This record gives sequence, C-alpha cells and structure tokens, in this order.
Amino acid sequence: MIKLISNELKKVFHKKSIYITLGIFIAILALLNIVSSRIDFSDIEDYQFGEENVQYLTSSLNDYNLDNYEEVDSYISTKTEIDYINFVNNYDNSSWQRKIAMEKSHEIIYNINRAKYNTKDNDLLATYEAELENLKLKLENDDDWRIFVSEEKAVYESKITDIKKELTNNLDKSSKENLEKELKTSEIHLYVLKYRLDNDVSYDNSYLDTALIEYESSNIALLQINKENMSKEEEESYNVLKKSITTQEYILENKADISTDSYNARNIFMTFIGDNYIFFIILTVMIAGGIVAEEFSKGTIKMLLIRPYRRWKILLSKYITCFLILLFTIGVLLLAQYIIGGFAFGFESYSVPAIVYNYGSKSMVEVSLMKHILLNLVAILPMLILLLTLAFTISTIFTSSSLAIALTFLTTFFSSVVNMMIIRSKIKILSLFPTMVWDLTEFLYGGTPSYEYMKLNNCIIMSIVYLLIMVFVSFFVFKHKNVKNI
Amino acid sequence: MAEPILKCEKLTKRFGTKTILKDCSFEIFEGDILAFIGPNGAGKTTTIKLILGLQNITSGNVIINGYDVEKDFVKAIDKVGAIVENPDLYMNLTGRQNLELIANYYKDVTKKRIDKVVELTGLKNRINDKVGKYSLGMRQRLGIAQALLNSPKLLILDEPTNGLDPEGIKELRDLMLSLAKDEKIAIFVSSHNLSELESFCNKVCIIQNGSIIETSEVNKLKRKAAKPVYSLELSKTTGLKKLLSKYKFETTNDNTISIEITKNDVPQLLKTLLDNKIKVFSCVEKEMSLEEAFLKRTGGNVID
Repeated sequence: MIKLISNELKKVFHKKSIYITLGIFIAILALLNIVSSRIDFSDIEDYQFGEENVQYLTSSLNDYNLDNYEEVDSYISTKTEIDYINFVNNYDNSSWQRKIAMEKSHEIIYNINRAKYNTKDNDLLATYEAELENLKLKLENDDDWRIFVSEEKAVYESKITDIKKELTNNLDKSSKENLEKELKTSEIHLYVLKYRLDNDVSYDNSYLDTALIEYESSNIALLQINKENMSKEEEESYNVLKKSITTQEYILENKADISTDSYNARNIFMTFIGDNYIFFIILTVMIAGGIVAEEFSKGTIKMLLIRPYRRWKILLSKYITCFLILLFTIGVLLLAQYIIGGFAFGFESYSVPAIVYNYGSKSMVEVSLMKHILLNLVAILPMLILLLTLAFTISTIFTSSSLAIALTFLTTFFSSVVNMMIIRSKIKILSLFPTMVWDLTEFLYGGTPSYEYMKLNNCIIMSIVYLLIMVFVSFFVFKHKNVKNI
Repeated sequence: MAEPILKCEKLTKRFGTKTILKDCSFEIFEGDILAFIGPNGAGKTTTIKLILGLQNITSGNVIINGYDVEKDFVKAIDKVGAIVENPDLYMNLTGRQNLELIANYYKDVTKKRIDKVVELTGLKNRINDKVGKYSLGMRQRLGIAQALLNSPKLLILDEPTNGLDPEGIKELRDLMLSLAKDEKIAIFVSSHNLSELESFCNKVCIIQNGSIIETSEVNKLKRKAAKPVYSLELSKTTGLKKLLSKYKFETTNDNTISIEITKNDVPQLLKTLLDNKIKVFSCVEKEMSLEEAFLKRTGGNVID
C-alpha cells in the first residue's frame, strides 16, 4: 500500500496544474495581505464626512414624501446623517472634540429629528435640542477631553446619589423597577467614564476605546431585556450580548487587544480557515476529480490494473492520496499566510493567543493560536472530506474528471442557498441533509447553532453515513468496471 | 507433459445481447510463441483483456501458472507482462520515471533490472527524455520494456510491431526468440501482420467472429491448408488449360504458373510440358505463406 501511495503521489506532484494553482492562490493571498495592510480608515472617514456625500444625501432627501407614513423613517435617517455630518464638521480633524462629537451627537440628533418629523412632540424636541446645545457648550469650553469626562462623571455621580436616596422611600413595584434600571444605567456610564480617566483612554478608536463603547452599549441593551420572560429572539440577543460583555470585560481588565476586528497578522491568521477554505476545496477537488478519471482517459489504467494488486487496493491508494493532498494544501497555504502576514504586518501579533468566548462556561478562555486554528479546521473537515469524496466518486463512476469537478463545485456553491431553503422550510428531517451537517463551526467552544434542529451527534453520524455510501459505491463500481477501448 | 503457462477454457464474453467471444479454448506452454490472429473485430483484444483481468468474464476460466485469474488474481498476474492496444504511459514523465513507477509495483525489480531492460529494448540514449517527446516506435519499445520488467513467465503482446520500422521489427523478433529459447518464456502475440509473425511464431491460433477456428503449429497449418504447390516459370502460359486439365493451377503472370501437384507427379508434369515444346526455366516448391494459409482457413472475412 505504501508503494502504491508513493507512486500516486509521484504522479500528482508531476502535474503542472497543481503548482500553477497553488502559485495563483499564494499570489492572491499576498495581494489581500498587502492591500489590507495599506488600508487607511481615515480615507473612508474622509469620504463619509466629505462634501460629495453631503450633497448626495441632501439631494436624496427630495425623494421622500413626508406625508407617507412608511417613508418618514427613511427621511429621518437621512436627515440625521446630514445633520450629524454637519455637526461633526464643526470641529477640526484631529481634535478630541471631533471624536466626542462623532460618538455622542448621532443619537441626540436622531432623537431631535424623530421628535420633529415623527412623533411631533414639541416638549421632547425641546429637551433633545437642549441636550445638543449642552454638548456643544462643553466641547467649546473644555480644554481637554479629560475635563469633559470629569464633568460627565460628576453628573452621573450626583444622579446616582439622588436615585439611591429616592429608593429608600416607599415606592410601588413598577416605579421601583424603573428607578433601579436607571440606577444601573448610570452606574454603567460612570464605570466607563472612570475607566477613561484612570487609564487615560481618549476617544481615539484604539482597542480600549472600542471596548469601552461596546461594553457600554451592550450592557445598556442588556438592561432592556426582561430576564424572566424572554422570547426566542430575546434569548438569542441575550446570549450575544452576554458574549460581548464578557469579551469586553476581558479586554478592559487585562488590557489585551484580543479583538479580531482590526487588520493584523494574527487576526487574519485566526480567520484564515473560515475566509479561505475555498482554496482548499478547489485544489483538492482538482486532484480528486481527476485521479481516477484521467487514468482512463489517458489509457494508463491498463498499465495499472495488470499489476499484482486487487482492485480495491489500487482505488484505496488513490483515495488516500487525495487526503494527503488535502493536508498538503492546507499546510502550504497556512504557512504561506503565516509568512506573508508576518511580513506585511509584523510578526509581533502572533504572540497574542486567541481569546474566545466559551458558551459552556460563559467565560473567556485562552487558546493558543494554533489550537484555535486547528479547531476551526476540524470543524470544516466533514465538509472538505465529503466534497473530496464526492469528486472522487463521480470521477470513478463516470470516468470524467470535468464532470466530477463541475458537479462538486456546483454542490459547494449552492450549498448555502440550499441550506437557506431548508431552514425556511422548517422540515425537521431535512436538517440531516448533507450540506446542513457538514459544517461544525457553530458548535465550537460549546456554541449552539442558530437553527434549532441541528445537533452535533447527528451531524457527525450523518456525515459518516454519507461518506460510507459514496465510498462503497465507488469501490463497487471500480471493482466491476470493464476497461473498454481507449 | 508440463503444465501450460496459460490455459483458457471455454472463454465467453457477452456485452448485453452481443456475444463477443464464444467458448474460446487454447493453451500455451513455456517456450511457445503463439500467434493469435484473426480479422478485425474477431475478438483478439477482448480475449487479451479477459486474460489480464481488465474485463469481466461472462463464463469460462483463465488459468495462468496454475492460478485462476478470477479467484487468485494477484498470484496469477504476478509473473505476467503485457501490452494492450497502445502502450499508454505517462507523457509528462520520462521513460525512466515510467519504468521506475512500474518497478515499484513488484517486490524484486531492481535498478539493475531496469537498466537491463532499457538496454534490451535499445532505449539507452533516450530513456531520460519525457515520453511526450518519443516517436511511436520509441513508445512501443518502452511498452515492451515495461512488459519485461518483472521477468515475466508469460508475455502478452497486443500488436507489438505497431509503429516499428523493419529494423525494429527484426530486433523485436530476435528478442522474442531469445526470450522463448533462453528463458523459456511463453509469448502470446496478436497481430494482423502475418508475414512478420511467420518469422518467429511456432504456434498459431486463429479466431474469427468470436470463436476459435484453428489452433495448431505453424508448420502443420501450412501443410494442412492444401496440397503442395509448385511454381513454374515457363516460356509461355497460353493454351495450358487443355494440357493441364487434370491439375488445379493458376497463372500468376505472363510466364509463371502455380500448380497444385504432389511430389511424385512432378516428373510427369515436366515431361508433359517439354513434350509440348514449352520450355521450363524453373520449378520450385512454394512455401505457402501464413497469410495464404490463414485466408484459406478463414475463407474471407465477414464481421457481424
């Protein structure tokens, strides 16, 4: 068997196509990395706040009919965007005021427009307009963002004291609940402001700044959910928010930049498998789809089948070779990304391990980069193996490599559409369909998949079943094949 | 008597409703060179494919070296070398790499053996070139080389002279003869080219429309075909019909006739001719060619 496999490998590695394809993939990777390393987010920002965008948005305002109930919301969104841009543009590009304006003014302006055009509540309108004025004043008068934060801090501290005082009174249940909610909200705001001051975190889009903002909004959103009586969607939101809060807490407590949002070598490497598994599929299917069929079309199958080996051994050696090629492809591309990423962004980020949210323990766990990537790989292994086997089986039955490759790609590309239809249909038995069971990524770290009928055991068992069916069919056909005229 | 190296018993092959081979039986012993001949479409390549396990046998047995090809394939095929139709090899590899791949399938084929086989087939100068660059003749030689790698006891060659120039054919013939004589290999050769086969085969098996119509030694076949034939070169061939009315003869050109006559009657014939003032320039027993014998036996060719 070893001899058979080594022969097959020799034949595969003499094919030019494998090197051409790998070369193209690595070139694409290099391009992606270099482009990502050069992306300047300020360019995007420049456009958003630029003259052109304002003009575009202003002209699109005319398209909305304010009398039409459905179009009012769109009008409000667009008008808010315009007002927001104009407000932010009052401040210099690198000033701290601009950054605070960017963070804080959007919500206020939205509320203003909503009161003006939707609810048409003049009292509410006046309140929000005053809020905006207040913000403006502070930005003008304060010399430094720290002063701004200190002032806000003082406001919340006194608010908290007031609420606590009022809670000692005898109140009815609903008033008490509302006050407690307000208390918690204020405490959250206070915590964030204190953190900024204590740790000198300005509004500069750094990872701590982002974490603070996320922390704030997630906690506030969490307060809106009534824990006792949650609907299905609310439960999902609850879990998502919990994950976000735990993640941000980890970042803030450990001052570790573990987010995968920014572009650096580690982040690209961590998401590599999920983003680029199509490369693995293309190369493996190319080989698996041709390894049997080409012997027939070239006529070399005759030279192969008259050797002292049973037919199933010969076919098995080819099948195993396909797996080896799969491993080879993954190894080469991972290595390429590691090196290219390191050169494009620097190798330092690789020392930061992956910190992921474990749904089981509901906490952040530290996982080495390699282990995280290996887990992601194992999660899509059923898909890779099933596609490889599909190409191999079609190739053996029909001795046409183009048919094998085309049908396998068809399956790959339409799998997401098919899955969507199955999920919509809510037919339970269809959750066992091959394209549904072959991706285990949602189960990683104790996670539960979004589609309720998916179970890990079912996925693994059904994947094995489909695999065995294809394998048996291909071995049976090959055993009884007549080698006709070539 | 020794065991046959290859024994086919009532081989039958059906493809749906079409019967390609019907009850074909024959044997080959060591040292034999069997010519497997038949018109186009007779079933020669199919027979070879059944022997080698490339197609399924509908009924009948193939026994090689005492092992049944269906029950004991690995042992049966171990000492067999073959070329089927064209010797298809990997075009993007060199001749040597192709041979190394094949050598890897056997336990005891060493580098020395590869070199020996390369030399035997005259490929030493081009063995390291890619097969895609070989001429047809070279590919044929490489095909023969790979068939010899495992020092087979049975060699099965499907039209091996395809694409070989006369020198190549001569080399092949000499090689076959020495293999059969020195190493006692049994060789099974199928071909259309009867004149070539004639020079080295000792047995013949004729197949037509899926059935074997004759198996015998070459000499016997030729003799069996008809009475001996004599070729006479004469001064004129006109007006002989009346004179030679009791013989069967034909005029092959202006001055030559071929006449079926036993050896004892030859003097009488000569006397008849000379008495009638016909000059005789030569009188020679004609060896019937295998081609003629074959055509006589198959009586022309009809492909179903």
